[in-house]
Amino acid sequence: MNPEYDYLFKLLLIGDSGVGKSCLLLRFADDSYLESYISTIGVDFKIRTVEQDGKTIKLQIWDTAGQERFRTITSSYYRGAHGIIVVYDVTDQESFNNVKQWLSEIDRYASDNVNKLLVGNKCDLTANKVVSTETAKAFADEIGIPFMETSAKNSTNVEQAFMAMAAEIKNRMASQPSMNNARPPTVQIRGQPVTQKSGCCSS
Amino acid sequence: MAAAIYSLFIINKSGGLIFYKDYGSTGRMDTNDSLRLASLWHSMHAISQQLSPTVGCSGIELLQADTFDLHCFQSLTGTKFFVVCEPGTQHMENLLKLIYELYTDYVLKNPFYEMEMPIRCELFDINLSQATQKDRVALLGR
Repeated sequence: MNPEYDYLFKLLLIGDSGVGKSCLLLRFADDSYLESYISTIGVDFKIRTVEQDGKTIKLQIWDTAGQERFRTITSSYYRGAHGIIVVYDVTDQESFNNVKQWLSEIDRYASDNVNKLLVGNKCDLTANKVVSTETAKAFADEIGIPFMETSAKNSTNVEQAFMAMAAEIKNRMASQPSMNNARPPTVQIRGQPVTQKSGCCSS
Repeated sequence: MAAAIYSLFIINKSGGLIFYKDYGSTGRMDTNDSLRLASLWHSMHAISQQLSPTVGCSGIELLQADTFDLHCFQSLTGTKFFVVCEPGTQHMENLLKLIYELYTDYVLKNPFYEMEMPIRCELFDINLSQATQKDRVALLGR
């Protein structure tokens, strides 16, 4: 039967320009890496098929342009996203400071129950690191979202970041009432038979 | 025989492809390409709304090219239906409305269908293939 996939999840990558969103995606979808920097124009898509619990899931990742001038139709990208990954660069303090603004964009445009993940990319550049793991972890804990440090170059944690997100979404979908196989709450009807008293007519 | 339709796409309100049917024999796309194309159309549709000088524009309804016409219908909830057909094919607006009706009847009313997810409903497939028959489409003009 048409289509050959059971689920289609929309994941979104956001974050400042140049933090490595496209590289993360390239590593995850094609397992490759490009040293050169090519700015994303508008939006780019990558798709990866994963199997979970016998279901075929298509993860369609929307890689948005970080640059301000491509932001005009961003709201249509946030719409209906199942998961959003906010990326910053561990060697760029400014990109970490801007995470708050990206999170407020999520609050404004995305659905309330969307899964979020904070990712600090370029963790292979240990010498230039300015955002400490502790700082970022504390920030993520404070706002209650999971956090990971990745390197698209060394492919550290990239697979884990995306798969963790996919699993969480799958779980969330499974716990929604429409898919829940548990017995639905039933109304308990209890009562006692009405004892027939002798009516007024018989007395 | 199907009418002069090349392909049919249904995309959910977040821009994901939930149904795709190819009626042509040549140039069949693989699944990922069709997903990519559908989401690009979603973005283009959003851009066309912004290009409009007047407020309340609902986006591209017809795109005409040398070798094909593309008709797009967007439901009130944002689900988009679009057909790619031979240039000048008649009654495509009516066909899209009919497909929308089939979608509401056989997809949305199917208790096993999960909202916004790929459409795998047998009754929808059956009724859709009947609706796209050439003689049926010709009748839509009446």
